[in-house]
Amino acid sequence: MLSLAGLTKSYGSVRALDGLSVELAGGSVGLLGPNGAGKTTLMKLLLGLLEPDGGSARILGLDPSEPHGRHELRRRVGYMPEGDCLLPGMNAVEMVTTLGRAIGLTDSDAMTRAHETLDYVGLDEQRYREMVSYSTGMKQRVKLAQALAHDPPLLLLDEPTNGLDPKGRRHMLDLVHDLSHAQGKHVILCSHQLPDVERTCDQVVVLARGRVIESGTIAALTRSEERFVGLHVAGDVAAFEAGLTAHGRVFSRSEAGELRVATLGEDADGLFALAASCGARIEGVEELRTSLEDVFLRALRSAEGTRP
Amino acid sequence: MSALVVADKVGAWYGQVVGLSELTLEIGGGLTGLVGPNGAGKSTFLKLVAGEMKPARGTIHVLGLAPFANREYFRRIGFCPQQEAIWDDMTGLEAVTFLMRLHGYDSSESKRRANAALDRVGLLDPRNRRIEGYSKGMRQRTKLAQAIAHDPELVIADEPLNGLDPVGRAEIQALFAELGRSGAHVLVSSHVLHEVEALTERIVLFHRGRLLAQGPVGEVRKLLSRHPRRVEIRARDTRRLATALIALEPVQSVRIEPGGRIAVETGDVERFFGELTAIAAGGAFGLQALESRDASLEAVFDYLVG
Amino acid sequence: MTASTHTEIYRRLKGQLDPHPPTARLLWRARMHVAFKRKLPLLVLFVPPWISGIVFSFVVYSKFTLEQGVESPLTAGGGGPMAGAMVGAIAGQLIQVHDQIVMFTHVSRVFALLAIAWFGAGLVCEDQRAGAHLLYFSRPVSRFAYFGGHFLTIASFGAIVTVGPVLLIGLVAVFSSPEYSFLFEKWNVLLGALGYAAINVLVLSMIALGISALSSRKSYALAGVFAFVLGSDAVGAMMRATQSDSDWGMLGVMSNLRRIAEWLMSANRQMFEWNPWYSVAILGGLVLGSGVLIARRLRRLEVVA
Repeated sequence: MLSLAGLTKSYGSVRALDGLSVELAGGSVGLLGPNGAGKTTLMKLLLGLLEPDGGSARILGLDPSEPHGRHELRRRVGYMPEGDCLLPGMNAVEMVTTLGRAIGLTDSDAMTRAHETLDYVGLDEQRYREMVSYSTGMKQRVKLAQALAHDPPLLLLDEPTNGLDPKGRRHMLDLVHDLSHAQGKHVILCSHQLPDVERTCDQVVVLARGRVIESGTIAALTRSEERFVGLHVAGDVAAFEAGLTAHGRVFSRSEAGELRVATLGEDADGLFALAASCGARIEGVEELRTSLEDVFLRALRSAEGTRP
Repeated sequence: MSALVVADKVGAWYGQVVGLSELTLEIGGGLTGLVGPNGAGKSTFLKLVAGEMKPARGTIHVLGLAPFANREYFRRIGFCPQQEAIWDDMTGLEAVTFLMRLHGYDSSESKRRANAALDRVGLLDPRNRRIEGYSKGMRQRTKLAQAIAHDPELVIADEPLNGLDPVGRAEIQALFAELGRSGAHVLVSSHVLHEVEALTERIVLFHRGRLLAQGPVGEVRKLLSRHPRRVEIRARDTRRLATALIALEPVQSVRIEPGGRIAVETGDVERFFGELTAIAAGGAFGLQALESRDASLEAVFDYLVG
Repeated sequence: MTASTHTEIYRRLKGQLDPHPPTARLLWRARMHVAFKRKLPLLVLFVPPWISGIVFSFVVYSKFTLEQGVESPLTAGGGGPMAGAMVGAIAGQLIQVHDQIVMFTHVSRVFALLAIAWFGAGLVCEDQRAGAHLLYFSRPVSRFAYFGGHFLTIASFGAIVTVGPVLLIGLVAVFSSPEYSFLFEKWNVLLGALGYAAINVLVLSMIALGISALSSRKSYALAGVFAFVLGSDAVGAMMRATQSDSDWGMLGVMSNLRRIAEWLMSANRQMFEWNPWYSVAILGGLVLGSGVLIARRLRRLEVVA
């Protein structure tokens, strides 16, 4: 779906992209990076708005460095920009129809798609009201609807959960997940909220200073590195810990009271047996995975380390 | 120790729009997170606590004082508002120094404090650049710096993590944790639940201008007895474990989810864990994971706000 | 009947995409649609020019028919010494009508300024404030098409208040003049009036768009357009009065437009005497300057923002 090799782009003396290379087969990708990492430039490039200075890029089989490729790209990408975006003076139906027409839908298709996508994002009767009166959540939904109007194979979503309250956030994330996992869209999601990315994406690409410093599937990046489990124990905890020591099992205790216990390559049945024998009860057993946040921060730190 | 914030039947309106309606609440010291949907009254409440606004009815006391237009009180708190109310034509250092002067410090002390605070929020390098050119995250940090520069007893921050990238967020979260450890009280609002969850257990949940719940998330969850607790279990011998689970008395339902996990609903989670431990001890089910899915702030929020 | 369910929540697009949609026209259509939603500004801005257009038409009509009515028996006689007087009378009427049309274009200049400023000042800056440019430019909408759509919108409003009434008056003049003599004798005035209306709309539209591209919100742009156009004329008038040299009028946008109007319609009484090509050059420069401003702004909006 996406293949970038040694991509560079400079604005004056600022190098926004500095030899960026990445291969993505498709699916749902979280694009992460601190501010100024080159995410915006990459988005512009994926939208066919920018021509790279050097390197080669193929997005959906199209080359953004030639005019035809740029033009075609813009027709196959659905873009949901960051922040408030609307067409002044319009209601949601007018906005989605206008934007659908601008991408080449016929008038009747544009109207059909406007209503279908607004249904999909869950904007009901409010769609006939002028958008200035919309809440942030409603504006975000319309933004998603307009990106879907022409049913593009690739969606670029820039901070889609910004400013949403918990309910709106979950609704938006459910939609993003559905689009990539049930509707077969390629989704590239830019977000500063790593848990949002963890929830909706299968892969991540981490950018810093115009380069890819980490990429891969979230499952692989956050896999449990050590053979430890986290245990939440209640009841006679002291006896349980004594029992662990007696059985010679290595364990440590976190600030929050979680026990990290070596599994010795076994299932947790033995731990339950031990707990039962010393009057404790086990309330949680979890694989200790590094969180995406850890992965992200570690990647950034090591990238800092490799440069003066 | 008496409560940090005591609000008694506080009401506040913006014209006809309700900000808070008859709120009675006590918040103890330490680090507390304010959550709620948009328009729930979090910002209104923080403005009242910061003394930026006078309650239309009722009384509010913070640190034993009435906040509104109280100079003595203002010296003891730091407020980081939600708006980007910072002078664009000053540098970060000038702005914070100026605000310290307003607190009554002399010019060298103001400058020293401003520098120290900007260092704490990680803004030492760009402190001599004009705020005009700051990113959203840098503005947030500047606002935060002026809120902590005079070592206040109470720091009030309205959506302080907005606009920060993950690196910035991690840093600012660490700063709040440090403030909490150093003995200052902190009130932080956010509409991003996992941000609050990462900061503190103790939350105050607003909804439609009213107090919906407060306390440690786990305790609040226990009060919601209407909603059975969901526990998810992964084991090698799924079917046999499920059969054993349904026989346990506290279990209300057992379902095998598409991925092979067992989802259990129980009305008495402590008793369930006790009995599960007992049957798992000798059952050789190959138990791998056990999680209670809905004890999180997000689950609590969902159940309460709906 | 076979049972079936259709519970899919997302449906694929079944139609085809036009590879090269007429984006400028689409934008223009959408913009016009939005502008026609608010009725009050339309009423306030359109009614006066059309009323004055109708009034002028009526005057033109009466010039021909009323005076013609009195003398009609004589024309029926034809020939003789009276015929010469008749021709003279008609020539006089034609000149008077010619003056009426020139006068109307002077009045319509103000209407055009009002309408163009009101509908045009907000176009670019409101788009930018609302973030609309991000939505447009992520589609196959070129900067040129974007500009075209907006220019067409603003020019349409200008045309409604200038070209429309001018056409009306011209048609009335042609059809009420004896033997369509106005068309045959004064066709250059008609063409000049229409040409001038077009230039008027072009110049003011470009200025309004240029200032809109510079401003951050509509109210500033609106003030800016008035300040620029009327301010330049105020300065021109002041210099004209103090230096007692009418050429200082070249400083004013409206004065230059007036000069061009008088020239194109070969007006009988001319207020300004300078070479009309100076005005063409000045206004052309303004249009070009605005064009450059708009182009730079749009580039920023498309690529940088």
